[in-house]
Amino acid sequence: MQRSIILSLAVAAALVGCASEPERPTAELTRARTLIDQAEKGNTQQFAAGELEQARGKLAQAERASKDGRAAESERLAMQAGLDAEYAAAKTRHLEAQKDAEALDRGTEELREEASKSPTQ
Amino acid sequence: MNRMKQLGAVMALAALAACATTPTVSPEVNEAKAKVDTLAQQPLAAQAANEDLVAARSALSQAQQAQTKREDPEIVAHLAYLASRHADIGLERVQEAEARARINKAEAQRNAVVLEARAAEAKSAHAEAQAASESAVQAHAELEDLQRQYDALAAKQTDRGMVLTLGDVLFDTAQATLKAGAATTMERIAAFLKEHAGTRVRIEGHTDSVGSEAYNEDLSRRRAQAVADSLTGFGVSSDRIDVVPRGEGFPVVGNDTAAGRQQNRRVEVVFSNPEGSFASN
Repeated sequence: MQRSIILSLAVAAALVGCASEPERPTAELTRARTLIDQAEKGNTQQFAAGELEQARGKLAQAERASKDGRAAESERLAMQAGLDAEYAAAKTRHLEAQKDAEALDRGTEELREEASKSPTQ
Repeated sequence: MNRMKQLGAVMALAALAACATTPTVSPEVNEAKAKVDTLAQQPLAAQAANEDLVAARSALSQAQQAQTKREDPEIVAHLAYLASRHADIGLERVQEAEARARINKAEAQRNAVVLEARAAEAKSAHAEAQAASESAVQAHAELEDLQRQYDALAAKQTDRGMVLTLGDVLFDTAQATLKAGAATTMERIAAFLKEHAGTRVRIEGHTDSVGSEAYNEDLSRRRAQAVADSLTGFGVSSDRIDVVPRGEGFPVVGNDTAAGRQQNRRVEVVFSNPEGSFASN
């Protein structure tokens, strides 16, 4: 009995030894998923579809690597996927603001033309 | 022995080659460094993307250290990718901040244009009101001027309009001829009519009750006509003059005293309004 406990401990130790690489990067995967979800809430599809797709692709790779026990690679891919998603969201906000600025500039220009068309008598 | 030597040399070369093939700087690290430098140069970087710049620099420094330590090129590339992405995100945030500044500026300009347009509108409305007020003042002044001229003629406001009474004393007794002294008054009436081309006059003759009605009617007509003739003599067109004999029917006072009768013997010049119509007949 004693012997079997020692044996199983040894087996467990061996297994831990095998996984001496970083632990399964659940935190990074979760973080990447959250960042992708957040990016999807904006107009990312319109302004940064390619970047968002890149993020999703890397997340899928990260999940596969995690399942296959390639923990370090999974963590790296998940980190990259998260940053890709953040980049997609930032680019979307930038392009949206730029669009607003252009519309506002046009509106002001139209207003100015209108005002100059009705001269004071 | 010879073979052993050769093998050793080859191994040494291989070892050297292995060292030499490790690039000093990987292209990924180069690219990341360029991006981080670009971000750092943005005037709005510290304000809009400080965290991204810090993260990008930290990842870049890790990538460079990993490279120096000759760690797995995959790890070097990964760290360089993280640095690049942090820099990318920072650059987007900087551009977003620039766009937001542009929006604020455009909004301010828009407000300025709206305010300017409103001010111009108010100014134009004020100018219109002023013009209206000025024309009202002018109309009032013209009216006052007209009144002064009537006053100068000694014409009085009645319900028939402005009426100038020419007293009996201007006529020779029981005659229809105007005395020479009446000329000044006639001239002034003519001058007034010349100035107010639309105004017409109705000249009404009146007598006292002495004598027959028919005689008085005739006398009133002749006296009124004498006044009309005098005016045409001063250049007033006869088209603008009506002559109306009123006879003895419209005394101003009783005919029982001499003074009263003298007052009743008169010719009245009734002025129309500037458009040529009379208040009543």
